[in-house]
Amino acid sequence: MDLGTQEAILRLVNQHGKDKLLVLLGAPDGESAEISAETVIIGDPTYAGPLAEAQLGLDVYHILEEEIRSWIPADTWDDQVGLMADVLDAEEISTAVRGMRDRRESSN
Amino acid sequence: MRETPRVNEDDRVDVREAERVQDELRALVELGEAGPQELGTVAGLDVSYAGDRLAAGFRRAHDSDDALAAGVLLENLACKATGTLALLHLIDDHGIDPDSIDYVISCSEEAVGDRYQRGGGNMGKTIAEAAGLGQASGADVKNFCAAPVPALVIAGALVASGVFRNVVVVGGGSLPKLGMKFQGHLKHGLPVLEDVVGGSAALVTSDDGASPVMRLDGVGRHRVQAGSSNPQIMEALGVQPLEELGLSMLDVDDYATELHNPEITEPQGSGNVPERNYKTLAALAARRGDIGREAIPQFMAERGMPGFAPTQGHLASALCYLPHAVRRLTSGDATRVHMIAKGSLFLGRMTQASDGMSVLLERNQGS
Amino acid sequence: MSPVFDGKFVIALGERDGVAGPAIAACAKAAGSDVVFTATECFV
Repeated sequence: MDLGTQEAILRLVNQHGKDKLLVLLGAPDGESAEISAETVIIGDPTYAGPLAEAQLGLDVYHILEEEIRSWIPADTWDDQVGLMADVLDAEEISTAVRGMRDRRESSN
Repeated sequence: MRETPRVNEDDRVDVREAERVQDELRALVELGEAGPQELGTVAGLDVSYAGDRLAAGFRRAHDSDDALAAGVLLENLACKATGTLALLHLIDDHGIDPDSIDYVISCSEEAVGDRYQRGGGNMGKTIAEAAGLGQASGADVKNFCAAPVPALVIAGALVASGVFRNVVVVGGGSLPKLGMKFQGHLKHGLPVLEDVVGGSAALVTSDDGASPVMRLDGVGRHRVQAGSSNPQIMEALGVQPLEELGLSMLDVDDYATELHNPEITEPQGSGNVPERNYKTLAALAARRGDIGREAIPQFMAERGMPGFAPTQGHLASALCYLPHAVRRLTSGDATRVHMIAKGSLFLGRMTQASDGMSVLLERNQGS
Repeated sequence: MSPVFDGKFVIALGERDGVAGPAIAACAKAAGSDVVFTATECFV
């Protein structure tokens, strides 16, 4: 994850508190989604950025997950996401991000 | 290079000067006045090593101007050199009179300038000069990786409107993109696969009755109001220009999008970019009812292609297919090739937007 | 309001090849949330 983005997230955690933040991802595949989710839950897996080992435990979902999609008005969804829901593997991505959330639960 | 030299003896770097600098460095090290790490400061050089052996030195042009730092100059020079080489190939391979070229548009990724104007540019004219095009001037089109298509369209517009007769679009290579994601490759036990600096040059000229034509009435653009919505972007680039010509997506034989070689991008975690692009185009065709959903893989296979370009950004963004498109549209059996380029403007932090442009190439009716 | 969104500030981390930041942000806003950060990554 871009180092500037990691810094921004840290700033926002300090400003609003972990419990007030919801991270929504737009990664194109499971592998990429998993790395982003891991970064905001456990820490930057490459140890390159300010979120290395940060253990933020943030709430993170992918935009294609049912828990998110179902709350977005259909016309906005069609406009903004539309056929990407067909193109991307929502199943694979959801499994990957849910898996990271489960790791957070089990370590709490 | 030795067998088909594009560069004369006179053009090559003055070897004596290089040897003089090398002697100077060696003397400094032997005198103990500078250890390897200090050479950079003492001789005003950025240096690089192969193990213990001094491999290269590059002089910065200014003590405090970051825009003239050695690394920046090296990048810009690499772009100039590769772009010039491509242009020399173009002239040589096609027997073009250098003096017949009026204008050179660069669509490269470098930023030439100084601290008062960091992106002042004009790599286009710089390359024209290096290639000996005495009658040409030039300018740059800057649009991140999408630049090749607006450069081609602008070149076409200049020729079609009669401003110029012959315009070259040139793309020099990107040095920073060498080993861009080397960590991903090494992690998977692969060598550093991003080891190619590319270069490309194309001549845009008036209709000769044989060469493929650029449909200036078949240009797609990614409008501001489309935001960053992928459906709207693909619609604007992949469909609208065709509709305006009364064509369907099935009237295009080859779609040339971002053609990064997946063997390079997949190990580094970036996935298969061409495949994703073709899947999006196919899904679009399915949504429009041009094909059934079950025909998506066939659409991708027949009208798309495996990625083959090194990760040289702008060069991979449709431009690398141009020579193949020319062949397909002349000696091959294609009628239409759709070139679609995209660029990530948001990387420069001035906008959250991306951009893209597309243009349709067609077989010449006279051929 | 969704139990997931309720009372949260959204950080929209998009990717160019998937769903971009501004697109995610537009969706979150349409769902009634405030978006405090938007970014898009590009890996090629």
